[in-house]
Amino acid sequence: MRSKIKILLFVVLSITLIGLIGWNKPELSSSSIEKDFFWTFKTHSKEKHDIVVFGDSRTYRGISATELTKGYPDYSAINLGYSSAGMDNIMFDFIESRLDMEKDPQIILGITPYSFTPDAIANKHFLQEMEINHFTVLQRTYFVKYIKFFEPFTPQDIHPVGKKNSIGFQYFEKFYNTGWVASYTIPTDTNRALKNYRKSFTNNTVSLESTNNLLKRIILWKEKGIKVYGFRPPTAHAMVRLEEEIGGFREKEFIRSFEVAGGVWLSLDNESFITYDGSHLDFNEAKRMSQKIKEKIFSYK
Amino acid sequence: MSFIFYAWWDWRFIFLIIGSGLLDYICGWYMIKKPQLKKLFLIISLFGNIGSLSIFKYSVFFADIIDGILLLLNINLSLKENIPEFALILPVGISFYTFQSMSYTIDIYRGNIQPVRNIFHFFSYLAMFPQLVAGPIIRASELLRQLKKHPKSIMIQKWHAIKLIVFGLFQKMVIADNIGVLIDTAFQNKSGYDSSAFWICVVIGFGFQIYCDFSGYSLIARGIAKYMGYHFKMNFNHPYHANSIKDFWRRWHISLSTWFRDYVYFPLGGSGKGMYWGIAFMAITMIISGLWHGSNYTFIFWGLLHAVFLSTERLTRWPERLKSFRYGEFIAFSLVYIQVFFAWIYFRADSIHDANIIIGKILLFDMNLDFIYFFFNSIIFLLLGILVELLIYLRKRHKRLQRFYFKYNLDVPITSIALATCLYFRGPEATFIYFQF
Repeated sequence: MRSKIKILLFVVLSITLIGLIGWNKPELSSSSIEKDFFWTFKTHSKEKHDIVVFGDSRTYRGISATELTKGYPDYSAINLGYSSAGMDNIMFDFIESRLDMEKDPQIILGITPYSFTPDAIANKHFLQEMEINHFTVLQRTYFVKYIKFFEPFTPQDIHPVGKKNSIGFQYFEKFYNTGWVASYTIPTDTNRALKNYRKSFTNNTVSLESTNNLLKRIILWKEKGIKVYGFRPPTAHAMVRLEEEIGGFREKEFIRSFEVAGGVWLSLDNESFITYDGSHLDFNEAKRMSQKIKEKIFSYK
Repeated sequence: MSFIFYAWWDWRFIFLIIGSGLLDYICGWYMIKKPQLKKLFLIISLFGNIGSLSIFKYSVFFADIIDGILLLLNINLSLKENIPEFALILPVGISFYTFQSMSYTIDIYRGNIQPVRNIFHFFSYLAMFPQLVAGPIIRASELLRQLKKHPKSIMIQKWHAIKLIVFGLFQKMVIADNIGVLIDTAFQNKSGYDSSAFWICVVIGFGFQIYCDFSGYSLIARGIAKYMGYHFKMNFNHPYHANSIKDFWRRWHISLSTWFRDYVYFPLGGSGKGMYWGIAFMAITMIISGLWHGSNYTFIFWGLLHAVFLSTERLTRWPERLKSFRYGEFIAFSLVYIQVFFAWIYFRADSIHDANIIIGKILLFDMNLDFIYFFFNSIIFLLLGILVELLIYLRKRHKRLQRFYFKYNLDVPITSIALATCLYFRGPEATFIYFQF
């Protein structure tokens, strides 16, 4: 066959194959393009909301903003959680800037001991997203669906999802524009996160200065007419013990100070929630927790 | 265009390659103009090239050694802390273009080539962008001749070029980058797995990662050059089809191994001074080859291991002896793999101590396979890499398969499938491994 014909055939065949695969791709367990868009949109959008949720990964995986306002169409909510987010002024300013002060502004804080540590206060993930150049922001915001067509997938994505005998470890994530990441893993392992957290708290314990800073901020928010709620995202019992023994977190004392500052503490029954890795709630449990929080905050109206 | 390509990484180092090139261009001419001073100009050229390589690549390594020796004599110079900052940056491609440049002046000295008149041809030879950063190392005699002719590629060459580029991308993006996830996690001690089966899988995985990564780059470089009308020789000829270590070195990084053979091994004396001198020269060559890869004792040890394997082969002639046995070829392949993959452990580990620990874990014969669960994707791509090599081996061995392949122009659908997999099965982006050399 002549080379010219071979090249032509190659081009036609390649375009056909690429088109076929692109249109029939399996659903990805975790789309990196959707993830990029998710974080860029969360960070660079200027939309304001009545309810802003903030915290670290336990919060952004644990609270569905849609569930939070289900049945309350006049309210809009956004989850502004970030990975390893810390309770620091840079984040407080950010979440306040996204609050609609007109109607009934509310802040819901997912309080984890790690979020008061020096490493968390550095807020590396948030700053990394803030520092993305303008071109990348535009690319991620406007060209996501075109880029998504060419997004790669893995052999595990081809294997049917959700079956009990699913091959290999898989981390499933679905990214929502309301700032929630619906997550679960196959298989689950409630001890998986413990090892990492043990390392995380090495030379990196809860800072009193950081907790006091939050309490001062709550007082300021109250003065501005912002309702502030706090809750501790449910985790495995071993994790709670680790955070208090190694992390240096005293929950009862903190709750007392939180309420004195003007915040409303939302108690959740830690034992009634199941995590997939000892730290994070899967998407069903996250919806359930969001509903419980909704019931509590709207009961204070 | 080649200089723009290079300057894109760091414009400051373009002056290094220009300076280094100018020195060799001038030395090349003076070797002809003043033949009585031929040796001097060769020494100047070698000094310039090896000097710049030593400064940028080996300054920390040698400073460490000197500091260590001086400390034994209770002298604390702290040479390592006093190395200027610029010398700590490794200019991309320096190991490749300095060797390419040295081969030019050495070939002029030997009378194999005449110095090139056109300085642009010389710099095109030295800095041609497809092979500038990671080879293949092209001999002046091969490329300068082509540059003089200003070749243009014909359609069949363009088709071959497309195939080379696509297959190169497939090796790099699909095989190497996907396997890399397993390898990087294992060597960073982040996997949480430690069984013998796990480490055997990692070692084999690394063997295929480095092969596909480097071979992939070489194919892309060859393909781009071919599209422009230039022919670069093959740099990898399916090294895992080798049935002896000698055969492995005839197939692995051919441009570098032949460079060392022609410019180190043969000048030392080759095998012309007897068996034992031949082995000694070969060992020196392999150690230098190891050191070329990086300033770490692990690379030197890797070179030394291959020297031991080659020496054993020379002395015992086991590959020839095995041919007479029933499953001799299979045993030969197995022995080659064991030796080569064993040596890769030292190549990849951060230290000899770490490599020894990995070997210790392998020798525990703990065949726990739980890691397959976690590294399923990487293992699938490792198996794919092995399957591709096996199919190519079978196609070469069985004429019927070859005829079938060519009769039905299977290269077309296979290249299309390879391109589609590059798009949809590409692994997480990773730099070419050989960029660090």
